[in-house]
Amino acid sequence: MSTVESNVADHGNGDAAHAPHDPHLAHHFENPEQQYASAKLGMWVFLGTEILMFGGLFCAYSVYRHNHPDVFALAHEALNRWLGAANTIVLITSSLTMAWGVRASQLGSTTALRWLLGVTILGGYFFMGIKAIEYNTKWKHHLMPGSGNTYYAWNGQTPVKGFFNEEPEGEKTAEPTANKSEAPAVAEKTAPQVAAQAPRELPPGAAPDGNAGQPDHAVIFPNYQTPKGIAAKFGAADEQLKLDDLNTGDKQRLYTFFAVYFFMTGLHGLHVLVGMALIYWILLRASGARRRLWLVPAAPMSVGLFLAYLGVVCGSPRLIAIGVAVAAVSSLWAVVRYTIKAPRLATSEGEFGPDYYTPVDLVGLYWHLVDLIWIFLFPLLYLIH
Amino acid sequence: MSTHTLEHAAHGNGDSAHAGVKHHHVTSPMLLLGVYGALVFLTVITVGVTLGPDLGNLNIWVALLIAVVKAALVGLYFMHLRWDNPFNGAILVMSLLFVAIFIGFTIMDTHHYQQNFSLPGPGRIP
Repeated sequence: MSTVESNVADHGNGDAAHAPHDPHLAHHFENPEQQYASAKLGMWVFLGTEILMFGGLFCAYSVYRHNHPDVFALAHEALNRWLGAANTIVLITSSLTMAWGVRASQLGSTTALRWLLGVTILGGYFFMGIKAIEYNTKWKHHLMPGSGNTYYAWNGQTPVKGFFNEEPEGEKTAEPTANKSEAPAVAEKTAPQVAAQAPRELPPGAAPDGNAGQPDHAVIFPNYQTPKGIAAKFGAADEQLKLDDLNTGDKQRLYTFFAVYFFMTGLHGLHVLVGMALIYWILLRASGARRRLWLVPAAPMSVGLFLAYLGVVCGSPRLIAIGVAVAAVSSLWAVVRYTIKAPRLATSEGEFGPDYYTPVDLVGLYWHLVDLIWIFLFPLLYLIH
Repeated sequence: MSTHTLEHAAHGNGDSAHAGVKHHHVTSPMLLLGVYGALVFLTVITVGVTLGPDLGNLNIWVALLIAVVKAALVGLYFMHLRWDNPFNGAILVMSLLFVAIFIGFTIMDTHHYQQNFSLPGPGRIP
């Protein structure tokens, strides 16, 4: 504190009534306004680099869509546009509550700020929940990025070779027949070219995908309840693009759409998670909780994440689901506790008010950027005509 | 002190006397809700357009135009760019401009050369 005062004195700011006592003013800034402007400029430069990073993925999207428009038009049918639209509304709503939270902090209404931040984080949970439904469905449809993507179309219970119910051109070579019994292992290890050319076979023990050709649903229906595969669907509608309209190369290239889809939405989802963590940090500071208590919710969260990690290592989807659920519930519990400000937690008023709300503003900018990117991702991935 | 601050904040007066703390523009609730309504409306429109008649090559441009309008609303009002230092907005616009140059030149390149090595046929995976 004494250094701050001496610095201010050196700069000759004698007329600053309470600047020397401002606990948030770093000594290398003249005044809070300069500090605020510098912080905001730095945040905008960072957001600019974020846009450039996503620009690389948007470029990959543009190149693949430009060269193979039919692939995108056909493969995007596997996405559910209504889930995408719901996620858009969720993100826009949480953007509104975040912007309102900045307003609340500017006006010094700390209770409103806490509740708005809590609702904003809740929006993140909703978004990631819907995302989990979509990813889960694609996982069960074998719609993965890279050569792991086996877009089977099933004709009843009989596995049909090739993508989309299509018999691949050219005769089968000797190697795939030999590899038939260990198809999943081979598909992982061979080069993408070889894996994509080889006729797809049903992995041993795998159940046929009765939902092939259906967009995402919260529930994966049993086989006997679902319609035929994607080939049947596209055969039915006359005006729609059919699989047979694609040339042979494009038929084998359908996985590129899912590579683009998973990398773009995956990086965006990562940003949503980071944004939620940042808003949680702001919520903690706004609630005026004792700093020692900040780590309490981290214990069950770490246990959950460790269980999820074990599930990844052991290849157990159930363990992954349990771990993620533990982490989600424990973090949600913490968010609710700090939002309603359990009396035991609070030792002081929140940090933010009209004189100091920079962190709220900057985290808000980050959250809006996440919303901004989704605004472009949604029509580009879900709404291809 | 607190009422004084609130008044300053509400009016967005920059020339506040105390300690160089400049109070910035506070967005009014009606404006926030209005922008929110516009964003939801545009989302409905952009989904609705795909259910309607096929516009051919115009589809993607309509979708992108709506997305740009939505992005402008978020940037100007939720991200405060309308009342901010214009330099912050310039950073955003410049980064978008460079992404556009990046994508534009890549598309021009691939448009000319892709046909040379991506002939349709079995066994040609990029």
